[in-house]
Formats: sequence, C-alpha cells, structure tokens
Amino acid sequence: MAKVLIVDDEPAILELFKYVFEDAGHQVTLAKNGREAVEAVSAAPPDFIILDVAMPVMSGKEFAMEFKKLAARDGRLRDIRFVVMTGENFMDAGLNSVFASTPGFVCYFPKMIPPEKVLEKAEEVLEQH
Amino acid sequence: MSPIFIKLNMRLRLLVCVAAAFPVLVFALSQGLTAPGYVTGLTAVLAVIVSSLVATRAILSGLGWPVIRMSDAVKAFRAADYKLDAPLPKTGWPEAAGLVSSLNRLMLELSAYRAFHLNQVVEERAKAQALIETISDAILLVDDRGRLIHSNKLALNVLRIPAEDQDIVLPGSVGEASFKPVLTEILDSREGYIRAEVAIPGADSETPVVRDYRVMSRQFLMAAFKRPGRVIVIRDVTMEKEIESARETFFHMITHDMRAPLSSIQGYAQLLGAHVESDPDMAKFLNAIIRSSKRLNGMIADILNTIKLERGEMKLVRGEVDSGSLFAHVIELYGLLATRKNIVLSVSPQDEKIEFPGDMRLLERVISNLVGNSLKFTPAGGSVTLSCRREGGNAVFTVEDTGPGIPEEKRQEIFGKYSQLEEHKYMGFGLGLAMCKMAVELHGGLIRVESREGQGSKFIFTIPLGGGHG
Repeated sequence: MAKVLIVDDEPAILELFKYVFEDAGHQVTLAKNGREAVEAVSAAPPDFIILDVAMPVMSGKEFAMEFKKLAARDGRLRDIRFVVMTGENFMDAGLNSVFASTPGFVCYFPKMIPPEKVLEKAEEVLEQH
Repeated sequence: MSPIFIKLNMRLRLLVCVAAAFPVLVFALSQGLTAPGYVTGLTAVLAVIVSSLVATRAILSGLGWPVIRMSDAVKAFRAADYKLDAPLPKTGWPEAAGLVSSLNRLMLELSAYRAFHLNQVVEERAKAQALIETISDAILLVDDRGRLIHSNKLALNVLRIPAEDQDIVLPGSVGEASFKPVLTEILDSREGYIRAEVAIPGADSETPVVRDYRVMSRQFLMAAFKRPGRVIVIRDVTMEKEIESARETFFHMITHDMRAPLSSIQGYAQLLGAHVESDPDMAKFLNAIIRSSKRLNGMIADILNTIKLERGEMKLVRGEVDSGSLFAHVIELYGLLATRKNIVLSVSPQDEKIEFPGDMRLLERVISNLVGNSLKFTPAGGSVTLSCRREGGNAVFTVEDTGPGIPEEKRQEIFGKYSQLEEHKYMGFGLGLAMCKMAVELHGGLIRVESREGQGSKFIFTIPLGGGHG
C-alpha cells in the first residue's frame, strides 16, 4: 500500500483516479490545484503524485518549482516520485525542462490515458523504490 | 437469463433443494411424533413459507438489492448529466460486488472523459473564436447548401447580415447586394480554391468605388456531415488598391514629364552641333550628349510602353516596316557603345528586302532592348549579330551574342511578367524582356531564347508578314 496524491482541477478526473487507486489498495489524497498540493505534501508526504498541468490558483509548473524548493529543505520529499498528466497536444520546451529538472519526475502521460496505465507505472516505480 | 444467474446456478440449486427438502423433513418428523393429521399439514405449509422467505431474503441481499441499486444509480447518473455523487457500496455476493465495482468504474470514467473532452472543446472553440475575431479579414464557414456554420462579427458587418438572424443562408441573407453574384458563383462552384474581387459602388458618380474587397474561398470536408463545406475569407483591399494606383500614376507622370526636358536637351545639342562643326572635339562631345539623350528617350518609351501593354491600353501604330531600316536605327544607337566595349555589332547580310506591316517605333524598342542586353552581358572581344530572314509567313529576327548564356531553368522565367517584379522592375534586364514579349505578341508573333551556357544566347522573334491581330 502506498500513499498517492492526485492533483487535478477536474473533480470527475480526481474521482476516477481515486476509485482506481483505492481499488488497488492505495491510500489516496486529492488536491484541486498546486496550492492544495503543496499543503498536502507538507502535511503528509505521499509516495507518488499524479500532477495535472493547467490548473487555476497554482499550475502544475508552479507546483513543480515550489516542490523543488521544498525538497531542497526537507529530505523526506526527495523520495517522492511523480508523473505529469497533460491535455496539451505538445509540451513546450520551457515546461519540459521545469518538470525534467524536478527531483522525482518519472514521465508524462497524455490525457485521457486509462487510469490503469498510470496505476501500472506507479506500482512499477514504487516497487523499484 | 443474465450471465450472473448462469454462474450462480449451483448456489441456486442448493437453495431450492434445501427449501424443498425442509417441509418433507418436518413432515417426516411430525409423523414420527404421531400427532393428528391437520396439525401436521398446517405445520408443513408454515414451514414451506418460512423456508421460502429465508431463501428469497438470501437471494435478494446477495443479488436482488445490488441489482436494484445499480439500476437506480444508472438512472440517477443519467438524470444528473453524467455526474456521480458517490460510488455505489460494494455489497452482495462477490459476483454482484464485482459488477458494482465495474459499474462504478464505467460511470466514473464516462464522467471524467466527458468532463475532459467538454473542457477541450470549450477551450478549442474559445481559441478559434479569439483568433477569427482578432484578424482583420471577414471569415465565414458555410455548408454545401450555403448555410452559415460559423463566422466572425466582421463578416456579418461586411455582408450586412443582421446579427439577430437565426437561420443565415448565403447568399439569401446577405444585405450587401454587391457580394451576391460572387457568393452565388462560389457556392455553385466545384473548385477547391476560388478568388474574386468585389467593388462596392458609391452612392453617386463622384465616388465610383467605396471599398474594394478580395474574396477567397477554399473547400474543406465537414466530418460531421461527410459533405464539403467552404471557408470564405473577405479581405478589404481598398487601401492596397489605392496605393498601387497612386504609385502607378505617379510613376507614369514623372516618366511622362521627363520627355519634354529631354527633347530640349537633344534638340539644343543638335543645334549646337550645327554651329561648332569646325571643332572636332566639340562635335564628338555633342554627339555623345545626343546619343545618350536618345538612349534615355528609349528607356522612357519602354517604361510608358510597358505600362500601356500591361494595362492592355497599347494601340499599335501600324506602318510599313523594313528590317534594314530597323537594324540601321539600332546600330546608330548602339554602334559607339559596342566599339567602346570592343564588341563587334553587325548585321548578317540578307538576300532580299523584308517588309511587313507593324509598329516601327515599338519594334525598334524590341530590338534595342535585345541588343542592349547582349552588349551588357557580352565580354570584350565578343560579338553581337543581328539578322532577319523570311520563313513561312513570318519575318524571323535574331539577336545572337557570345555572352555567358542563360541557365536553362531561367529561360522561361526571364520573359515572365512577375519575374522582374522585384529588384529589376523598370530597369535593365527585367522590364526590357517583359516589354519585348508583350510587344511581339501584340504583333501576333512569338519570342523565345536559345542558349548554351558559356557559349552565348540567341533571342529569336517572329512577326507575321501579313500583319497579325491587334
């Protein structure tokens, strides 16, 4: 069992991923934007994060930049692995480099990928860990 | 029979067996206890009812209630526009619980995918709308029957279509009558790409044109209807046309105005020549002035001719043309230049006099241009040779040089009306050949070039001896 944080501004997507990950026996926390995700990470560091890019209040990119700073201070956060899930057809170079340079980055997933694929990747990464 | 019951058959058989066996067991027991017959019967009936109720309850809680809850949940999910308040609890027998789980997944997925795609569509639409509202062209998308699918506000303004119109069909809904013929033509056409010009006339003769528009249209396939639709773009080119026209008028004017002072220079130089015949140096200088004036005059004539030819306003001044005197004029004009550049400019001897009807001054400009080009590109020590011969019903003129030649890929291009539009317009090579081509064609003839790189070029043009059209 792992602690999984799912960050997305679309409630229907949060509910779907929550259901699939809970069904697989994981403990799920939800966040509607980057700000809530920062709070969730600080309160109780998860093992795995699924991160959306385009969100109000604080975007996935801003979260990644904030997370980098947090991880520099708090050693517990360096074990967190995360994947980025995006609806954009392409990733621009700037965005790409922000995620790629953030500790714990695993890969991108295009939206809407079946949740099982993300679950598979999460379990594979956590197993290695 | 739903698959879940086929899977459940063993369990149901067991239940029914027990349910049926139970009253028999009670009956047998009561017989053994030797009680009266009616009491035994009543007891048996009661036992059957009780056992049935218990079995039904087991089946219901294992399968019935979960199925009923699933059915209600799906109805509610659809009524709530595919939003799931909370996943259904996984109750009942494992088969029912599995089905509940699958159904939860299906509803959550449908809800998530729907939300995602709706967001995408809304975002794409907003992007497209922002784009088409920002650009300065009017844009319309219509189906193959002319029904408006989408447009920007500018399009409705330009075509004077009332914005409150619910069912817009082109060209019927168009308020601006000037666009109707073009739009009708576009909608009737099978062409993939169409371009047309529309001028909106002014109210009175003082302002003949209020605005000029360029209408462009391209077909696209509408996926939803599997029919071709059309994108129509209407661009306001009023300013573009005004600038172009002002530019041409200005150019025409100054070129035209150069003629008078030039004639003056030429005339007075000739007069001076008559007075100073005794001084050989002075005579030489004056001749140089006169020749340069003549060449400048030729260039001005070329510019004015080109403008007239391009506009289709050129009228040939027909007279009897003789190849010998044509060549003589050109040699007079370029002889000294050729000598100075050490190029042999000569006319091939011809056996007979070739005469035909044509515009002497225009043809002189054609040959002058060809010779001028040859002299420009032929290195010192080379030659430029003119000739004329009779062939079929044509006089065939050639201007042959020993210059560097023209690469094959450029041979068509050099006569092109647009090839000289950029850096060479109205100067040198570009304008001259375009003018030559138009002038020869106006006489009903043809012009072409034969060339071998490094071995010179040969320009050949024909003029019908009997007089062509035009």
